[in-house]
Order: sequence, then C-alpha cells, then structure tokens
Amino acid sequence: MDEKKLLPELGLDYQLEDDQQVDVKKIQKWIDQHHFSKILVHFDIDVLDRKLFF
Amino acid sequence: MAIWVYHSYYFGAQLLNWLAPQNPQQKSIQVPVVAPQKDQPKLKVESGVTAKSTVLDNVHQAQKIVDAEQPNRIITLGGNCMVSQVPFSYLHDKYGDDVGIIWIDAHPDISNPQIFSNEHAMILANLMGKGDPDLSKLIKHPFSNNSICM
Repeated sequence: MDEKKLLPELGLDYQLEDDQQVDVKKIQKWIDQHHFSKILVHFDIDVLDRKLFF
Repeated sequence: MAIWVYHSYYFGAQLLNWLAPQNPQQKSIQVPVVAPQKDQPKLKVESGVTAKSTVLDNVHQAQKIVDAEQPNRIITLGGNCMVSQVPFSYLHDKYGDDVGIIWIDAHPDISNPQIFSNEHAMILANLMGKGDPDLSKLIKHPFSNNSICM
C-alpha cells in the first residue's frame, strides 16, 4: 500500500514530487493563520533527486 | 544494497558534521548510535519494524541528551529521517502551539508497521501519534494536521 493513501485520513495536504513550484505565500499564510512563532524544518536531501534515493 | 544504506546514513551524518560551520557558541553532541559493521548481518524485523529495538535504543539515547541539555534550539544532522523525532517532540513540549512543522521530503513519512517495515518512513505519523504504536506513544504532545505544512 502506498503511504500517500493515508494522507486524507491524517488530514494532510502533500505537495506532489512532480510539482516544482513552492508557494511561499501559501506557507506564509499558514504560519500567520496559526500564529506560529517557531518553525521546525525537516529537510531530506531526497527531494533534490528522488530517483537517487529510491 | 541494505548495507550500503546503513553505511551511507552513518557516513552522511559524519560528513555533514564535518561540513557544518564551527560555532563556539553552539554545542555539538553526537548521539552514540551503534556504527554499522563491515559484515553487517541482515537486520531482524521486530513487531513489523526492522531492528526496532535498535531504533528505540537510538531514540532513548537522543532523548537522554536533550533532557540533560534542555536546549532552546536544535539542529540535527543525520542519519535518516528518524533524527527528527526526539528534537521535534521536545520542542513541541517546550513551545506548545507556537510551533509548526515544514516537512520537505520526497516521501510524506506517514507509514506504519502494517504497510512498511522501515521506521524512518513512519516518523511524521509518529509525531502525530498515529504511526508505529511503540514510537508514537513516546510523543507526549502529538502534532495536529493543522500544524504541519508539506
């Protein structure tokens, strides 16, 4: 089973890997809406080239 | 292939630590995980998760360090995606609803032992309290979906 099928159940909206655009305004809106003053960033280098990292 | 992965994760963390700029104001601590062996035996699947006891040991080691240091900010250099579990959980406990997560990853990491056996693919679900039950229960304050941007 593809884990992405669990996204709706968890209420998550995942930007697909073939979408190369980052919507900065959308992210800022999300930060403002929830009044986050601290952001935790998880960065996996597999986003640089998915084929290299299975 | 699996051995290559284990060695690469371990080596990658060492390499990133070497590349990272030195800052005398910033304490650097290595989590004492077990190094991969040259003739690494095939890891056992325990309760649906590969090397679960080792994963739990590593999480506890990281937790001990964070509890002792009580940092205000944490930078982790890993390793695999599991390196985010303890710092994110700790910072959520510390700062509560002031904290949001931006998850930049080619995989959402929301799996669970019923569909996949590698814990690193469950980390975000664990942080939400909905991944591997044994790792999810370590999260005192699970993140809500609204506090995660992917």
